Amino acid sequence: MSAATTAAICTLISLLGTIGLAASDPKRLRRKAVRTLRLARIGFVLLTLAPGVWLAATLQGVGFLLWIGASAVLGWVVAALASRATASRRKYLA
Amino acid sequence: MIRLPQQETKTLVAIHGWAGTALGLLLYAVIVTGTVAVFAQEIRVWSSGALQSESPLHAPIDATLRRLAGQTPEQFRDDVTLRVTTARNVSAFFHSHVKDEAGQITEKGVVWQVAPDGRVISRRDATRANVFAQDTDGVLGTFFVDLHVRLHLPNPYGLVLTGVLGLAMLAAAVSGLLMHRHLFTDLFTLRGRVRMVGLRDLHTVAASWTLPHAFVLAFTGAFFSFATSIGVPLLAMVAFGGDRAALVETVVGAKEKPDPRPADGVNLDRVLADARARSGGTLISANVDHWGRADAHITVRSGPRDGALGGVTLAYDGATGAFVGEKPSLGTKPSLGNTVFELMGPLHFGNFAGWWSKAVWFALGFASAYVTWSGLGLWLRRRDDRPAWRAFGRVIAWTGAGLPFSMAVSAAAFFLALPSGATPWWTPAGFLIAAAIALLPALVLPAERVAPLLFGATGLVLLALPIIRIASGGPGWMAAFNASQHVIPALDTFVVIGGMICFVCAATALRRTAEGAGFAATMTPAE
Amino acid sequence: MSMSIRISRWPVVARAVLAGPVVVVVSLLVVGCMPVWFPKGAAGIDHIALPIILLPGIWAVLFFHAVLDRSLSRVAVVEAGLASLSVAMLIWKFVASA
Repeated sequence: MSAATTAAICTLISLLGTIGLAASDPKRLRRKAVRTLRLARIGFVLLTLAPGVWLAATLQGVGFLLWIGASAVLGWVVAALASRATASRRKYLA
Repeated sequence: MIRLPQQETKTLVAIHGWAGTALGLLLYAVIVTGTVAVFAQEIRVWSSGALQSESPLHAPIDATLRRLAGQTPEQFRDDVTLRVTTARNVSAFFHSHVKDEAGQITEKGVVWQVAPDGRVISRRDATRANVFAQDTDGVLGTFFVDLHVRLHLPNPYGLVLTGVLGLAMLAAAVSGLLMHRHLFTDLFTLRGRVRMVGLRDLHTVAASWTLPHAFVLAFTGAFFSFATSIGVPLLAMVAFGGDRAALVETVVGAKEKPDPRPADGVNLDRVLADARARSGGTLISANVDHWGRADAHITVRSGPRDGALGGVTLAYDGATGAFVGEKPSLGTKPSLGNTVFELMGPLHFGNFAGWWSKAVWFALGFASAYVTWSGLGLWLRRRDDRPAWRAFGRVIAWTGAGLPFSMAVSAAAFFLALPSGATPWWTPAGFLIAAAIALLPALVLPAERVAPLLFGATGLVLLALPIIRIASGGPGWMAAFNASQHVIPALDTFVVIGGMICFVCAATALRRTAEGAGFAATMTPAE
Repeated sequence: MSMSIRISRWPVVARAVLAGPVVVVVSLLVVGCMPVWFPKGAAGIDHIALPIILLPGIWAVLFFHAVLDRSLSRVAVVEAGLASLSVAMLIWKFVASA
């Protein structure tokens, strides 16, 4: 498997974790994080970071750099889309 | 994230804000041009219409080279440097080392441009300074790179300035990190555009996500700017007491005992084939030192193979073709200094994994440009009641939106000048003319309409570029696909998508300013 | 009135000078003298390559120390000390090699 393909798969896994973090973000939801939510968020953090840790530990420099860059960009996009979704829902409910 | 006392936080906010304001516009220019320059090589291919996709150094060249050597004056046959031009021809520079008027050693000789089939395209006398001057096909890509590297100021002033901007970006990244108490918990906090706190969120969320990249780009960028302008001369003086020969011997390697006996030399095609097999990457250049002598020496440089961060330089015996070894960029054997030095290029240019890494680096560059732009906007919104800062706001709008517009127009000017060969003049001229045109709306229109209008104009120019390119004699998509040249249709597509995005964003922003009756009506005091 | 404004602005001006041009000069001196003491490494080039690569980092450390350390005099002492040490090493290098 090429370095780019490996990095793409790792990035997709991290993206799932990032989406989970955005969906469960207490500040965005405007509520305190209860225990189950906190545990879930820890899981999402691990899901987000684990692929990068694996790439670094296996000395896949190209894959790691692609992963960290792509995850950063996609994280920003997820943050923007999550806030739009929240704003639309609040407008609908208002 | 890091709880600093209030006084230190206030100091960092001041540094972050004033450094950003004082140098933000120039930094924005360096970031935007750098983002585009990630695809400089693709832009050169796209703008020149080169259909050849394979490196010409992968095809037989030995017979052609020997024929050209016979036609080159003997005093210029010491060494030969082979490079790939934008049009995917071979540039063969036969040269010797001479002293120029200033007493400095330079290279002087004859440069041939040869098509992959061995046909001679051009021949001219050249020196190291102007050996690439005739590559007018690559002018557009080179223009964007020069704008990024030294803002088109003469060396060393341009390099020192971009180095200072790199340090400013480093200071902004570190101060931003230290100031932000809730870096991780605020990663998804965007509270809309209506209130000041929401505008601050737009800036901090983008900056937080791209902080590692910003730090790396600032660090490596400052290194590249200062290394040649200040670092190397300074340290060479200290380490070697100004002894250039000792410096060269340490960095490049000691010269072997000369053996000027004539020798036929190894078949270069065999050496290049071996280099291609060993490196696993595309061959970029080759050097034959002491052409036609028993002590001939060949070095071949390649691009990175899949999974590698950088290419390799392979050394061969020029008489026998025997593989001597892999040559580090610095020094004659592997070392920590060389390893770290070889990391700086891939980390800065993002060219280690073809389209994939370039696409990621482009997106991160766009995000960094957005961080700079939104930071300047935040600074101004807090000072919207002061006339001097409102005037500065017009400068920001002119620079921020005028720069992409000018770059797009310079590309159009390049294509229009391509048939006449006057691209070296018209490309920068187009840029400056567009910058002057962009000044008109910045001076005349309401401030909040300037940037959207210029972005809209950028979108229109980008949408027209593929049409202008083909109308100027560039190859169409059918010709490109038939030649397996995918760069041309890919960049046409990206340019059109970019144009549409610019246009839609501009239209949305203009509608928003029309509805909002100006920003001041929606602003609440700074939070 | 103007005298009191000048006196109260003096620490800000002094810190700006220390964190600005003084830190630039000290950074260049520190990096400039590193070839004297930094290990040459396997290929004999580490003492040239690594100082140049580290220049932005050295500047950043000195800059943030100059702006964040509450004691101006301590900042001045640190920068003067680094500059003196670097100059002394450079003088020793060129005198010893003469």
